[in-house]
Amino acid sequence: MNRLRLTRSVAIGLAAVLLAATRTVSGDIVRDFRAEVSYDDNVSNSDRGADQRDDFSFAALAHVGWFGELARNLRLTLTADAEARAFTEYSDFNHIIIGATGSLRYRIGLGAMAPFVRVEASGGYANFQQDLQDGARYRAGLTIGKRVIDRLALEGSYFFDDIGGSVRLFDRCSHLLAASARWDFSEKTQVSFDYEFRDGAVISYARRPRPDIVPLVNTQGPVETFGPGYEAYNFDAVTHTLGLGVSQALTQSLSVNFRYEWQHTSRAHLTYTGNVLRLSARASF
Amino acid sequence: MAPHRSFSSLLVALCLWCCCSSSAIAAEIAVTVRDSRGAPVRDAVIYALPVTGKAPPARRQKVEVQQRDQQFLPYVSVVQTGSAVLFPNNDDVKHHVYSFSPAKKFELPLYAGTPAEPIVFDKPGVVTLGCNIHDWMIAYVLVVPTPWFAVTGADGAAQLRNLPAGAYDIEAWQPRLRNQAQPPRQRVNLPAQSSTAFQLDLKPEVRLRRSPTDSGDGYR
Ligand SMILES: [Cu+2]
Repeated sequence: MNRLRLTRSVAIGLAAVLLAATRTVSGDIVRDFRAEVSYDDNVSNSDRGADQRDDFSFAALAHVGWFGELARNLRLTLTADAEARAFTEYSDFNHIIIGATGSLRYRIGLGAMAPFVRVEASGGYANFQQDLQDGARYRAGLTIGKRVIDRLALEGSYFFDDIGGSVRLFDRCSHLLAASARWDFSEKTQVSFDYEFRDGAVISYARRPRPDIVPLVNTQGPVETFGPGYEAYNFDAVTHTLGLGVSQALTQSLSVNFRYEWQHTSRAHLTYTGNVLRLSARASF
Repeated sequence: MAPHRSFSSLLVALCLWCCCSSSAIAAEIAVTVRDSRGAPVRDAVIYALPVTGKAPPARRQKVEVQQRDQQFLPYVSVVQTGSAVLFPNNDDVKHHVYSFSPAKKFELPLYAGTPAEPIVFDKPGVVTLGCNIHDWMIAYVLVVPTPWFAVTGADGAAQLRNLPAGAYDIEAWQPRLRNQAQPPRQRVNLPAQSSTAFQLDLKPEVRLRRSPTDSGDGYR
């Protein structure tokens, strides 16, 4: 409840700053929309093949806001964010997230080739079909980047992520380190490669009894999203994610994107992997 | 403009007829530009340098590189050394135009409308324009030491007009030209020769994209 109130205050605060900023400094409007179909072959984060469940999900995301220059090299971007996602099989994960993001980008120099540092923070509230997962979420971090040649842009980032649930079982905090490279084959086709290191709490579903997981957990509880006999285990683990993406521009404001992610999570003897495929259409005006 | 132009043409014709002096003949030459695969090349600049090295000084003409729909217009411009260029912003957002090119370094910080002072391009060379707000915005101004120039259209064709008779080196330049240091050159004698053709070795297009990407927010 406290988190909810805080999220509302953050959202109202950001909206007020956004309004004030757009009135005093002229800038550009941000209107980014995305429609996505994705497939996750291990939506249950299970280590045993027999427990593992896969699912498709459909999502619509929107970021609407403003960006403007506070100084010659300093840009402020403020957006209101919304996400709605529905799963074909496991509807407990269906959710709507409403939030806001603020970021400040400082460029060392002018133009596309100049290196930059960006700090950003976002907050939101997620409402799940399964009430246990409802809660506020926050993310804050820093990204540094540089376009090294016309065709190649590199970025590195650190983020702290805090996802809250209405019960302790669904609370997850993590530290993330990521690096990415984007290569422009042409003005229309872009290929990206990225790696992410995540250290923090995860939720893994497995059928009882699992005495081998019990000593590792922060908390656990019976959750029947995947059927009777399943237990959700919240424990700290390290996740390595490798991602490969291809983005094809259709027009100057519309693109189709394909992304593949391989995720590998481990803690002591426990290991699970996931393969995620995402196909999305993006529009930006 | 049209009656004035036809009057000058008449005058030129009259002169030709009366004098028949070869040096007074205003010649023209048609140039076609193709890439190594034979496809027509647009946005190629064609310019004629008199072999004597003597070209008349820059005429006072209004040259503009506009910003419209968050793009520069035109993509390629050509001006004679010493020309002044205005950068009117026709968008309802501000732009921050800059150039790091040795031929002309300048910056027009965040502005709307038309800046009062034009930018004078006083050295020959390639000037690459960018916008610090919209990274995909790019355009080129080629500064040449001659008043005889043209830019090719989609058909790869351009016409150089009103050149006094004599020998010229005609050069062809394009933003994607592989050898930027030495644009291809051809010697022509006017009015004996009425057309010429260039085949350019071009790099693939690598303009920064404006379309949204899946990874990274690009301009944000
Ligand atoms: Cu701009």
